Amino acid sequence: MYNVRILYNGCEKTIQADKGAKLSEVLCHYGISAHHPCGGRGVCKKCAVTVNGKKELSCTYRINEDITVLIEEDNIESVTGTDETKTATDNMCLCFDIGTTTLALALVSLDEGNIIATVVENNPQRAFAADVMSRIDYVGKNGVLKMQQAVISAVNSMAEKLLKQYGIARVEKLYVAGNMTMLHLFFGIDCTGMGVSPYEPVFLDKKALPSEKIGINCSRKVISLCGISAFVGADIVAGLGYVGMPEKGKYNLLIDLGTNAEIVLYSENVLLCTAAAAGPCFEGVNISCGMSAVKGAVYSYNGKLCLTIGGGEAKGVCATGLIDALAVMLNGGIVDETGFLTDKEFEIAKDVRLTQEDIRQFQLAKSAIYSGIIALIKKQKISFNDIDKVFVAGGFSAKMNLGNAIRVGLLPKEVQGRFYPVNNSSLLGCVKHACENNSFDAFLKNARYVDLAKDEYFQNLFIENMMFE
Amino acid sequence: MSVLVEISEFVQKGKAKDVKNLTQAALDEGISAKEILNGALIAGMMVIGEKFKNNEVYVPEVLIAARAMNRGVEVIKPYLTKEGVEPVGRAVICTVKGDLHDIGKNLVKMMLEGVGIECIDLGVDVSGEQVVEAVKESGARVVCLSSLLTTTMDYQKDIIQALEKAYLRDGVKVMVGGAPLNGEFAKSIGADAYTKDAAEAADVALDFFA
Repeated sequence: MYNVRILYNGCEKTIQADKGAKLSEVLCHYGISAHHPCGGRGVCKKCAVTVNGKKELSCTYRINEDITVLIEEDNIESVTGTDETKTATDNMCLCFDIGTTTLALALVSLDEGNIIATVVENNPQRAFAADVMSRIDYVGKNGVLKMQQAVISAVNSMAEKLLKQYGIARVEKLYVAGNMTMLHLFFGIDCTGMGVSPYEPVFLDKKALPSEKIGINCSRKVISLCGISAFVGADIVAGLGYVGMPEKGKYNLLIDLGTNAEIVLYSENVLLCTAAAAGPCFEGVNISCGMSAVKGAVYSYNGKLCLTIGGGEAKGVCATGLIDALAVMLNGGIVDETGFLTDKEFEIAKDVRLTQEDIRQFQLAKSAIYSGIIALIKKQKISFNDIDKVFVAGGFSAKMNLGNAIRVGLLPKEVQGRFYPVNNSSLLGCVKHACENNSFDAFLKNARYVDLAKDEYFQNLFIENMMFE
Repeated sequence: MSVLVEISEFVQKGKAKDVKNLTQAALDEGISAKEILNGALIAGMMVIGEKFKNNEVYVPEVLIAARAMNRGVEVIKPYLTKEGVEPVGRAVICTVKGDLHDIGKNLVKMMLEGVGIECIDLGVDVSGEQVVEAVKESGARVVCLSSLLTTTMDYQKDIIQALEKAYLRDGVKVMVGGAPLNGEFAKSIGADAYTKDAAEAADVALDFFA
């Protein structure tokens, strides 16, 4: 064991790490994380920190002595990982992940099989409606055109920013992943069938068409990945492709945390997937002091040390901070096993407080996700021992303190030690798809969607798992 | 503190294990199942219902309290049958065709059960024919329809029409609820009542059975 002394935004803490441990993973485990747009390949240099006075990449640095790590303030800039030594070659493509909240576009070298630079922006469709269902509702009332124009012009301008730096006018191919609603909107196809049971998308299969048909000017062709069902889309297929198959006879779990949390339990022969309605509390919605993970949000908290994004004054709490705070409250007996808050409020920082209602909102969300996981495991009649790896994806997964996520009952404790955070698995899977020309068919042939509302176990599980242990 | 008051308080707090143990203890003391049901389990749930109506507690508290109440009901169920205790009334409840969001429906069901109404729960994505069939079979006098999406609320009307076609409409009161609904909409589709939350639904249903 080595001591890792962390200096971060004027705060200091010391943690223990195993010999040879990867610094990024150690930091992330304690709730401190840099962006890894390149997926920890040591390419984007976004995760650079100062170790014992020397610049190092936390994604490649291994701990073999006591160290002091200085971490600069998080700066969220849109273009990341620009590698000036790279020159334009013909063999490049763009990979685009359309998230309901965030858009991510990566310039990818097909020769080297890696990301050269990434641009991240908010999804402009949020101006019309926040979540998937309300966007479908919007399309039902106003048609698809405005939503399509918003995302197309966003990707065109994002691509321009990326390509200009390399003197590239346009690339041959733009690969696209995203949930099925986002893909329908991107292609300008009516998505209202997904707003009402039996929740039918117009298409699930991969699409390839000339870019000009939908107004894309950064590539000649647009290629999208296929999806599994209305609620388990191409973003999840990409994620599965990225994390890969479990070893023979074992199962993996992929959990994509979000307003609709997709959960996939799969082996070489079986694939059960579902979407659990967690609600928007991880986005900070319905939490009195909640906010998304932007400057001023408390993202890490241990009862004493309170870390905010950007290092300044705490303005609110984001998902990871909320999870940490709840763990502190449970451990301190401030919240009992039914979720009852013994004090009127709980103060995390000045003017940042959690109320009873906030805890109740969180209980609904965490139970939906946890119960969804258990429902799939019960359905497949396996035990936690049969599970090899649990991949946790979604915007905040990499920054989440896994121990605390287990403490608050968001993730099952039985698979502790088998968790692997993956940042944007949809984008990374899309890149893998582009580089390896692999369309991940192995995952599709056995895919079966489990409807939790009709599931025999889910309703009872949902109520039971609202409790804390 | 009497054991009934104690049980009621454990129901309100959602302490399921304590409710179960104390309910058994109350039976052992010779208190009748009916008394435990009305004086402790339902009484506790009614307090939660009232608090829910006043926004003093939220959805999870209701679910947690109902879970605790059910632990107690399980214990006294065989005794209730033995004592010949009848429910206040019967209601058919479901989420309409096309709508798979049923937390609201489950909440209403719990609150109805919390005031002693027996619920025939048809689940989610239910058609007019299924409702007609269930009303015929059970003799229920109240039908509760839930819809949480603007995309599915119109199906509530289809179910009311199916009841009319089957000549059952006059024998039942139809209550509708769900986030996108309001009283005007309920009137326009020919429902008897719109209730804005689960606690109000239980009150209105009780009035229908009175």
